[in-house]
Amino acid sequence: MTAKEPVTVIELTDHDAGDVLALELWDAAGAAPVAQALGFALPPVGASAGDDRCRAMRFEPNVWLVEGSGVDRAALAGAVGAHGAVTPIGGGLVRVILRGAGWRTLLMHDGVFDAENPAFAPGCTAATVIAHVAVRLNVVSEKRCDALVPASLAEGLIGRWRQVAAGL
Amino acid sequence: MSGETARFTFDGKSYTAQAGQTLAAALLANGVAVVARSFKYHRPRGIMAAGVEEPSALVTVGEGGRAEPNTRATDVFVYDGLVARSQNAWPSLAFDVGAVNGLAARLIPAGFYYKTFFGPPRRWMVYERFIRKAAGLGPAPQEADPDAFDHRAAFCDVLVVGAGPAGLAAALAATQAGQRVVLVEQDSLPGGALLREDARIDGQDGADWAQGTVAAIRAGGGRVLLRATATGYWDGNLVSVVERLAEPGQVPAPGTPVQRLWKVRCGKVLLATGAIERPLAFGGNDRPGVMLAQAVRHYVRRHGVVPGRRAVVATSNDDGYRTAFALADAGAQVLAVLDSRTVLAGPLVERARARFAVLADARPIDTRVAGRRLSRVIAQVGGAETTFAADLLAMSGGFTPVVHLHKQAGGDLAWDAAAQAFLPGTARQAQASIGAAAGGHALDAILAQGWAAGGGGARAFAVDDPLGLGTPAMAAAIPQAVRGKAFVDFQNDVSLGDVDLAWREGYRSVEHLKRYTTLGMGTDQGKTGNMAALARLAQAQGVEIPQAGLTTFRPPYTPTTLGAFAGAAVGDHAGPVRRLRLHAAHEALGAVWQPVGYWFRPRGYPRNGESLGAASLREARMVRESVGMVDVSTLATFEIAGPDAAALLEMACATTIGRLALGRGRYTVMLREDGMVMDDGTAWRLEEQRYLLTSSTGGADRMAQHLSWLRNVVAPDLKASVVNVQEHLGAVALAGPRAAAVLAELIGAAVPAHMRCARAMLAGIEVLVLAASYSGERAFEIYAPGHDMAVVWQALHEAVVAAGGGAYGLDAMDHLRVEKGHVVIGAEVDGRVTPADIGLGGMLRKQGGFVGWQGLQRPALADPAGRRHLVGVAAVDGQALPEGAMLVAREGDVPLGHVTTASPRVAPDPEGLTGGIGLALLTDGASRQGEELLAWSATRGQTVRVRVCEPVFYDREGARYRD
Repeated sequence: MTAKEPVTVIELTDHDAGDVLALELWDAAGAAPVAQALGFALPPVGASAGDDRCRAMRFEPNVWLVEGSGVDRAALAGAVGAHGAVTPIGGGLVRVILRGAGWRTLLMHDGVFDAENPAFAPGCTAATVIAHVAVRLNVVSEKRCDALVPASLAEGLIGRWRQVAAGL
Repeated sequence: MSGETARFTFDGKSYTAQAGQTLAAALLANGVAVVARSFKYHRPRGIMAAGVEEPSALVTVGEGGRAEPNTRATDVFVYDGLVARSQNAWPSLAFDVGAVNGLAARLIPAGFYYKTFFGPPRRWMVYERFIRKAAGLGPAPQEADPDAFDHRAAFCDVLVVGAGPAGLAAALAATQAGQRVVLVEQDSLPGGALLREDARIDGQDGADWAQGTVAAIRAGGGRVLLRATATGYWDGNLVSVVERLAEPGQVPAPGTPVQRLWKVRCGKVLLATGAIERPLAFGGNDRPGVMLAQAVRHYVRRHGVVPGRRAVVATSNDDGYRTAFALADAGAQVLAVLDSRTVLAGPLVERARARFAVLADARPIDTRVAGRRLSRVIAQVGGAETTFAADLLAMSGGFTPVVHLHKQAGGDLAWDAAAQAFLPGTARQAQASIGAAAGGHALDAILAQGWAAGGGGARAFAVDDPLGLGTPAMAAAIPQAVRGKAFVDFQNDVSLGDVDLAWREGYRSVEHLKRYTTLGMGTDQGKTGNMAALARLAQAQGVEIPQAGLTTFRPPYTPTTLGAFAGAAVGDHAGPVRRLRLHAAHEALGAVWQPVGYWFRPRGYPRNGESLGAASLREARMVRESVGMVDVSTLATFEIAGPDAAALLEMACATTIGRLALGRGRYTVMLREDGMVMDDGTAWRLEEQRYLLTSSTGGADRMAQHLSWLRNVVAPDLKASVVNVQEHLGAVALAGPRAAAVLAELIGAAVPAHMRCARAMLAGIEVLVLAASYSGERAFEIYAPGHDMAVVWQALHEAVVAAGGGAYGLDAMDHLRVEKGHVVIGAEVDGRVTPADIGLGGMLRKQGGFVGWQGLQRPALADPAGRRHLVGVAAVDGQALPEGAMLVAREGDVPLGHVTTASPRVAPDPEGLTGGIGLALLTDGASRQGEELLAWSATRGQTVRVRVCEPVFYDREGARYRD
């Protein structure tokens, strides 16, 4: 019988994610005004920028997710102008905040993504599938990872995460 | 070993085991010789091996839902309270009636059932029952497994399979080189061969060195999994590993799964899987007391169990001598070492000669038992027969490197003529075999090889082996003639005679031999037996073994419980479940749930003992007469924005979208490239450069892929954003003659006209109102972000109830749409219909420019003759229609079509018909209006006379939903 892996502590909380917007730019010229509106440059693929008040995360080539209570939607839409489009999507998401050193281990269960890789460090994002559910991950710190989960599948996945977390 | 003990039972009798002992070791220690009956002849069988290759000692371990049949006694570690039972024996292991099969062995040789059980296939249903009773394995438990199984991913630079000396050296080197390392070992202890040998490494006892190495690997960040078997090697250097967190039948720790399936993605895989010893082929080689020589050594050295007091060692190689020394050192009497080689030389042999009788050109040819346990070994020494009064025969017929994973990875095999064994050849993935798995022999060389494979620099391991290095192992020759039954596949009772019989009867291919004799088809997959049978086949063919062929190595390497594959996905709905945002609200109304793909949706809301059918009819009539509301949040919805949004929609949709005025919507269809209808829905112009496209629930993912393909592949330069808002938007459809009044009151404004849309405030929530009807009544779809839907639903529900209505479910929705002739994706639209087939041909853009237009130009699709058309069908004799029934002129005729959806009538028929109605796809249906046919369901034994009609049964003019 193997010894259990080192005991890890994890706290899991779920939150409304109604603030999340999908920002698509089909024109690179839109990056500068958007950066001005957000207060920081849009991050490259697989990375995030900003903080809890206003954050942008890039999961796809031309699409960023923008979140945070500090996002001025009108200003953002104005900055995007004809360079792209902004569409609210947060009604369909649940934000799960994983706190504690055990979040990496937790995400390896029922998953296919290398969350244990040290290169998946704060500021990194990833879109993956966990327990058949499409999940977007954002590493906020070494002890915190946020996950955006489709609302319809959140109950099952969060329940499974709680079950796994209890055994870590 | 510590002094701890564990109590266990076998066939109801209590025994004690030392901590760390396998069940096999504990049974041997307690003098239990017979632990199983063989598969076919019910011959008494003991323990032959010490690892997962054990073919005979299969037992059932555990009780109730935890019972695990066909567990190898060599692969379960005793825990306190373990309950084990023998299997395939009645009424008892000691007296098994099935042993009569052995007496009738001449009548039931290999392949006898192919010759015996002739006749129609249905008779097999009878035969099979008897065959299964007569021969078989342990019964599967009837109760559900109470334990949890887990799935976990892991990524590493180096995966090492096997924690023997080679694997440990490799894993340590890789860890010290800074690699991410995973080391897996199926045993509960690391060490592999070191656990049965007397060798010392770097001044340490071998077992201690192994423990220390594991500690060093873990300290260096490596992951070491014990009781973890690499069961499969897949493409992309993916290896599946099943880890046991509890022993078979054992209650796991609270909150702990019983097994974990690891999916390990590896940069490189090092296979240190060792080698399996081969038995010798001679008459009575399956008697309890005849064991593999390394297994005997294993029990003596690791478990402190001496399986016999008077032993004969029969070997074809030097390694067998080590067992003689181990037995003698443990106090057993070694009567003789029978060596099949004619010339014996070397230090190991000389040492042995000083202690035992060592006989050259000697081999066992038969055995005798006393009370089912070995009592005599009859040997041929030179040309003479000699009998030994032995209770243990330790045999070694050479070694078979474990190349299973190498082969599963696509690797080739190379033939080692001296060892008469297949070795790993060219690897097709990033993997290499090391140690005994690669034919390694000398411990120091194996350690050095492992170290180098793990990326270590030059280093020598100090190996101290008191017996010294023997010569490389040679395989025993397969004798031409044997006395009695000389088994090669012990689990399936396949003997050399069976192989010979198959050859005489014309089975030349190894694949045919396998299936005719069942060779290698047991739970052990022929780990100990296949090579001997291949050698026999090669003898018969007059070729070398590689030319005789080889069967396929398939995962899993060892039997794996289905629970490990299922993981957490068990229960009524063994997969993800999608819950509506309004799930609780529906639950409060007493919803009966319907799985729709992954979604759970309300099928209806029965009241006061009402049947579901009655409830759905009541709900549908409520909509016709007053007002109803239904949750349609699962509809696929996409927001398409940007200057080229209309252009993108014109590609996706076969109807005109580009000229849609602001605030207007239109019904539309989307086609596949071949011109067949893929989906339908509505398109709405919400803003100057922003549209909402809806489509079916069932086709949502397909439509998302389709739009993504159009946007990113077909037209990547379009300035258009496509966002899937199916999850973001919840929606409620409000329908019925009072719907407009209810909604107007709630939003405090005029409602939009039919096929128009507007933003409004409802209960403080901004909503989007689309005026569209699926029911045939004046209707609206009210959209809001998912997290606001509860408020919207509650306000609507209160108002609807006050207006005399209520909620309705999927069944009522279906009844309503059938009356209106609206198609549904998956029923009327089955992937084989064009827009014209379902009456939508007139809607298409004549100039084309949409996906599927070219496909529609093909003559077979452009000409409506001979195609199946959407029609209505009405039962003329007052019966319900069987959904799915064939439409025929007479029972038994070739079907002309089929009923795609059946429904009761919600609204009365103007002609007074009271039977069911339905939609159907009917060949040349457009020209068959008024014909009478039969809806014939052979599977249900139902036949209903129907009249073909227009596929609209209610308000053909559409007066009900227009303003």
